[in-house]
Amino acid sequence: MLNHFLLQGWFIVERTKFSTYAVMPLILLFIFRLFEGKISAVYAGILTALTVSILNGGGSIPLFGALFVLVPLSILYLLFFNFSLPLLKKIGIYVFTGISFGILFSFFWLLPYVNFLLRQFSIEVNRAGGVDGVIGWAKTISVNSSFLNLMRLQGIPNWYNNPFHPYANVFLNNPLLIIVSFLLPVLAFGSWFIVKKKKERLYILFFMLVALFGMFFSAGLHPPTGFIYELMIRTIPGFMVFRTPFYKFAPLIWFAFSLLIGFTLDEFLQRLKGFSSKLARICALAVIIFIVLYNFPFIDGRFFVYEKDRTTRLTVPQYIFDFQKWANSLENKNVRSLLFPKLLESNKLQTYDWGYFSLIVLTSLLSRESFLTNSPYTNENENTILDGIYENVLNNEPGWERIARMMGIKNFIVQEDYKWDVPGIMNVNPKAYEPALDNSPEVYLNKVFGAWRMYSFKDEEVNSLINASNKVTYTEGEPYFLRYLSSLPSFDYKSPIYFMNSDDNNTSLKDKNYYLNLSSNIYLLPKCITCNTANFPLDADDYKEPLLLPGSQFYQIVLDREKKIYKEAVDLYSKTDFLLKMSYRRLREMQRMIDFKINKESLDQPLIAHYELMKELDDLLIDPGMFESEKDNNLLIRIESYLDIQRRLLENYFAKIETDEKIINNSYIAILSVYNKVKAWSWRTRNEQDKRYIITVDSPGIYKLWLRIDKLGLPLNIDPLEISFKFTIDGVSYDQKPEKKEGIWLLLKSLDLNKGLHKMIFRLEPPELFDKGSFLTIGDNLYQLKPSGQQGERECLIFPVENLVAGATYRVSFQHQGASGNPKMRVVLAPKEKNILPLSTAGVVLENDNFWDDFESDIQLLESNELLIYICTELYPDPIFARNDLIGIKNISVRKLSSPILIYEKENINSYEATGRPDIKFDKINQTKYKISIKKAARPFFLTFLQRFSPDWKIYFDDGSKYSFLPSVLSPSGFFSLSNLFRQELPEENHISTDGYANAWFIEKTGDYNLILEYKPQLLRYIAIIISLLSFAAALIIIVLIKRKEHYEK
Amino acid sequence: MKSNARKFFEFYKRHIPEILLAVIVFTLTASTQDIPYLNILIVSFNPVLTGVIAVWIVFYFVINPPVKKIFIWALLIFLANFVFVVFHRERIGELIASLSYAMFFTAVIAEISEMKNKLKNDSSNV
Repeated sequence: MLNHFLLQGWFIVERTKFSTYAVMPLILLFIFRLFEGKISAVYAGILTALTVSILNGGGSIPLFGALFVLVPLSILYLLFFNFSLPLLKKIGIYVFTGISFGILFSFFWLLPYVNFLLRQFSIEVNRAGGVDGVIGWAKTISVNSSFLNLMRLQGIPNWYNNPFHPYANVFLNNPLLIIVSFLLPVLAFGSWFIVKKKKERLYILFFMLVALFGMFFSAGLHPPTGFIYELMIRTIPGFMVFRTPFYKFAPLIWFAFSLLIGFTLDEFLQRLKGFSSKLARICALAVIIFIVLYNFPFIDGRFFVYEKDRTTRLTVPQYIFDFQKWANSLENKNVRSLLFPKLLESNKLQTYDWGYFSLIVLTSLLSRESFLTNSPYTNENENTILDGIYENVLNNEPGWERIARMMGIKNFIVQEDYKWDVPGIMNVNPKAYEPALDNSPEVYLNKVFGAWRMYSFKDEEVNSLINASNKVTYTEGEPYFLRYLSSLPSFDYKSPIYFMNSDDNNTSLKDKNYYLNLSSNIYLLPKCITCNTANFPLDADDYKEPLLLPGSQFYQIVLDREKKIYKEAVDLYSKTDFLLKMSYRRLREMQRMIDFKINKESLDQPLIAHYELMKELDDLLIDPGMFESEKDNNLLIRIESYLDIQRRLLENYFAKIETDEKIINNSYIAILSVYNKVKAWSWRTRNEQDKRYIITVDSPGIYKLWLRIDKLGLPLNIDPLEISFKFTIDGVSYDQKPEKKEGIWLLLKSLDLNKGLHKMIFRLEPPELFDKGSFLTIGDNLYQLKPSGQQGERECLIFPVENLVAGATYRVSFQHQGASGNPKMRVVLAPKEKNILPLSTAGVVLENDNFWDDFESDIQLLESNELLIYICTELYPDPIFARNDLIGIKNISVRKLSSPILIYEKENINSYEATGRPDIKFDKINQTKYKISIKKAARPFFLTFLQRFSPDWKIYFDDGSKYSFLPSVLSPSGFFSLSNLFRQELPEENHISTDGYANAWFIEKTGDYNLILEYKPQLLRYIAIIISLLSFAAALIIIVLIKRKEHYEK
Repeated sequence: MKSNARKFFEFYKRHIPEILLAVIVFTLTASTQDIPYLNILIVSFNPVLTGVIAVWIVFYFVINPPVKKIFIWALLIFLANFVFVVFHRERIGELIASLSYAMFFTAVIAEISEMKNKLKNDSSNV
C-alpha cells in the first residue's frame, strides 16, 4: 500500500478501481512471458482477455486508462529490443486474440455499455458542458498534479481543496513527511544506479518509462505538458472520456514506482545479506514497518473521515432498518412514494443528521420499490413535474394531490432527519412541507419510522403503474404548466396528458389531429412573451473577443470565413442570424480597436462594414406579414435584442471614436431605423402592466378563459369577482368582471376561437403595496431629504414595506429632484433592517437636478417578507455646500411583479365514455418485463405505463403459445423470452409520451387478451450473456488443446 | 593553480554559444504568449515551464552529456525542491521539477538506445 490515493480507496472499498489496478501486473506478466517465448500468442491473448473480462472495472472503460497506456508501451518497448518479423507476427496474433476474445468475453457488459454510449455519449458530453466543459473539469482536476507532486506520489485533488482533510495537511506541511515523500522518487530512480544485472536493468528502464508516461498523462492539463493533453481531448475521438486524468492514469506511476522501489530494496538487501543475513532480515522488517508507519492514517482509522465531521463509519439508526423492512414488505409492492424534502438543484446531495452523505438516494440502497425524488438521475421533465408537487406542497397551494395521483404516488415520506441547515448549502427544513400534508383532506399520517413520517392517500385512487384510459387530455404547452393545470376544476388525472409542445421525446408519427379527435379536454396554455420585459440573451459565441482586427494582414481570413457562412445562409432565419452576429462583431472589433489602441487608422472599416450589414438587414425586413408565426415573432425579438445592445454600445463609444462623424452617424441611424421597425412589428411584453401572450389554436370552438387568482398578488380584502379585468384578444378589447369563481380560478369569459395563432393582451395593474403611513409629507406625496451639513454624516429616509411574500420579486419606483442645489443621493433596497454606514457603497448613487427624474429597480425577497427602502444623502467633502441642498422625493411605489396564469379550456368534444375503460391487471415478470391482462376492451384505448418514456419499451401481443421446451426463452411471457426478438411489436407510431415523462400506447384491439410489455435492449443483453458464455467455453477448449499439444511436444 | 573565478570564466568562454542559444530559446518560448496569432494557436501553454524544457532539450543536443550525469543531476535538482515545498514556494518547485522530469525522460530514452546498442554488440560478439 504505497500510495495514499490507493489507500483512500479502501474507505468505501472501491472494488471497481482495485480491479483495474490488479489487471496491470497480470497482463504485463503475460506480455513478458510471451516475449520470453514461454507461452504462445493465442494462450497469452486468451489469458489477457479472461483477466480483463473478470477484473472489468465494473464495466467502465475510462477506468482502464492506465491499461490503455501500459499495454502498447510494453509491446513497443519489447519490440524495440527484439524486433523481427516472426515476433511481429506473434504480437499481431496476441493483439488480435486478446481484443477479439476480450470483446467476446465482455459482451455481457460491453454491449449495454456501447448501447449507452451510442445513445447517451453526446448527451453526457453536453451535460458536462461540451468539449470546453470537459476541458474545464480536467483543468480543475489537474490543478495540483504537477510533476513536483506526482513524483512524490501526491497530487490527488481533494488533498488540496479540502482544508478539513483528516490527514492531507500533515503530509503537506510536516517537514519529516515531506522528506519521506522525496525519498520515494530517490528509491525508485535509485534502482538505475544500484542494479547492475542487464536483464533487470531492461525491466527497470521499462518501468521508468511507464512512470514517466504515467506522469505525463496524470498531469493532465497541468503545465508544462497540459497543452498536449488538451490537444488530445480536442482531436482524438473519444479521448474526452478521460476527463479526470489523475484518477485514470496515476495508477501507472504507483505501479511503476512500487516495482522500481522493490528492485532497489531487493538489491540493497541482497548486498546486505552478503555481510550479514540477520542484518538483512532486520532491514527488511524495518522497511515494512517504515511503509506501514508512513501510511499511519490507515492504522489510526482517521482515513475513514473524509471531511470535517464526515466519516464513512456510520451508525445507521434502527428506524432506517424498520423502514427498510416495511419498504420490502408486500404492503409496499408496486407502490410509489415521494421523498421530502426536495434535493438542492445545485448538488442533489442526500445528507442526514446521522452522517449519511451521498449522491446515491438512500432508499435505493434499502429497497427496489419506487421512491421518487429529484435525484441526479431524473431528467429535466421529470424534475419539472416533481417540482410542481414540491412547490405546491411547500406553498400550500392546491393541485399537488392530483399530480401525485397522476404519477401513481401513494405515499409521501417526510425525512425529518435530513440535514438541511448545512452552511453554504442550505435547503428547506423538511418540516416546512408538513403543514400542507397535515391540512390536506386527502392524506393522513399513516406511519412513523423514527424521524421519517409517512403520509398516505386515504383512498386507493392513484393511477397504477400500468393503466388504461379511453381518452386523452390534449395540452398545448409545456409540462411546467402541470402545477397550475392540476388545480383547474375539470382536470382529470386519470386521463393521460398529451403535451403538444413537449415533442422532444415524441417519436409519434401520428398527426396531432389524431390526438385532438381522441381528447376529451383541450387546454391551451398561453405563452407570455418576454413576461419579465427583458431582451433575449446573446449567443455564447457573441461574447468571444475578436482577435483578428481590421488593418491586420490576417483579417482576410475572417472575411473569407464569413463569406463562406453567408453563402450557406439561404433562408430568412440564417440570413438574419448572420447579419446580426456579423454586425455585432464589427462593433466589437471597433470597441477592441479603441480600447487597446490597435490599428486606429483602420477604425472606419468596421463601421462602414456595419452600415452595409444594417442596410442589408433593413432590406430583408420588407413586410410585417412575413412574421406571422410564434417562431417568426421570436426572430423579431431576437433582432430587437441584438440591435438594442448594438445601439447602446455605439452610444457609449460615440465620443471615443476618432473618425469621420458621418460614418458613425450612418451606422447609428441604420441601427435605429431597423430597431424601430422591428419594435413596431414584434409582439412582446414591454411593461409590467400589459402582459402579451400568444396562443395557437388547433381545434376551433368555444374556449373558457380561466385566470388563477392567487398569482395576481391581490390584497386579501378584495373580492376578485368585483374586479373588472381588461384584456384584448386579436384586437378586440374586453373589460368585464369574471363570470364565476371555482376554487382558486376565475372564469373570465367564454370565447369563440378560430384555428390559428391568436394574440392576447392582459392588462393588470398590480396593487400598490407602499403605505405612506405616518411619514411626514409636504403636499402631494412629497418627501424632503435635507443633508445634515455635518461632515461624515448621512441622512436617510427609511420606508419599510411589510406583509410581502418571501420569494416574490417587487418593483420599487419613485421620482426624485434636486429641489435646491444638485445633491447626490444613495438608494439601497434591503430585505431586512441594516445599518447604512457613512462610507457604504451599497445600492446606487443618483444625481439630482432641477427636473423630476424616475427611479425604478427590482428586488427579489429571498427569505424576508419585509422590504426597506433607504433613500440617503451622499457624503459631502465640504459641508458648507450641503447646507442649501434639498432633495425632493415623490410617488414612491412598490408593486409585486406578477405573471398572471391564464388557461384556455375546451370541454367534452368527443363522445367517448369513461365507462368504456377496459379492466387491467398486470404481473411484473422482472424489472424489464410485465404481463398485462386486458378484459372487456369495448373500444380502442390508451395503455399508460408510468415509467420514463423510451422508444425501447415495446408492446407484444401474447399469443398464448405454450412451449414445453425452454418455456422461459420461447414463450412470450418467459423470463428471458428471446423469441420476442422475432415477434412483431406494436408499431412505434402508436407509442407516445404522456404526462410529460411517461409512455402510452394507443391499442386498437378490442375484447379480452394478454399483452407483454418489455424493454427491448434487455433482450440484447441476454444474447450478449449467451455470447460471453459460449466464448468462455470456446476459450476453455482452445486452452485445453494448447496444453495437450504442449504436453505431447514435451 | 587556477582560481575558481578563472575556471568559471574559462567554462563560460567554452560554452558561450550554448549559453547564448539557451537564453534565446528560453526568451523566444517564454515570449510566445505575446506574439500575435501564435498565442491563439497555443492553448494551455505555460511559457516559463515550457521554456525551461525547451532550454534543456537544446542543451542536451548541444552538450550531449553522459546518461549517468543526467540521472544524478535530475535527482539532485529534484531534491532541491525540498526547500521550496517546505517553505510553500511550489511555483518555483514546479519549474525545477519540470526540468528534472525532462532530464529523466531524456536520460531514460538515451539509456534505452544505448542499451539496445549494447545488446546488439553482445549478440554479435557471441
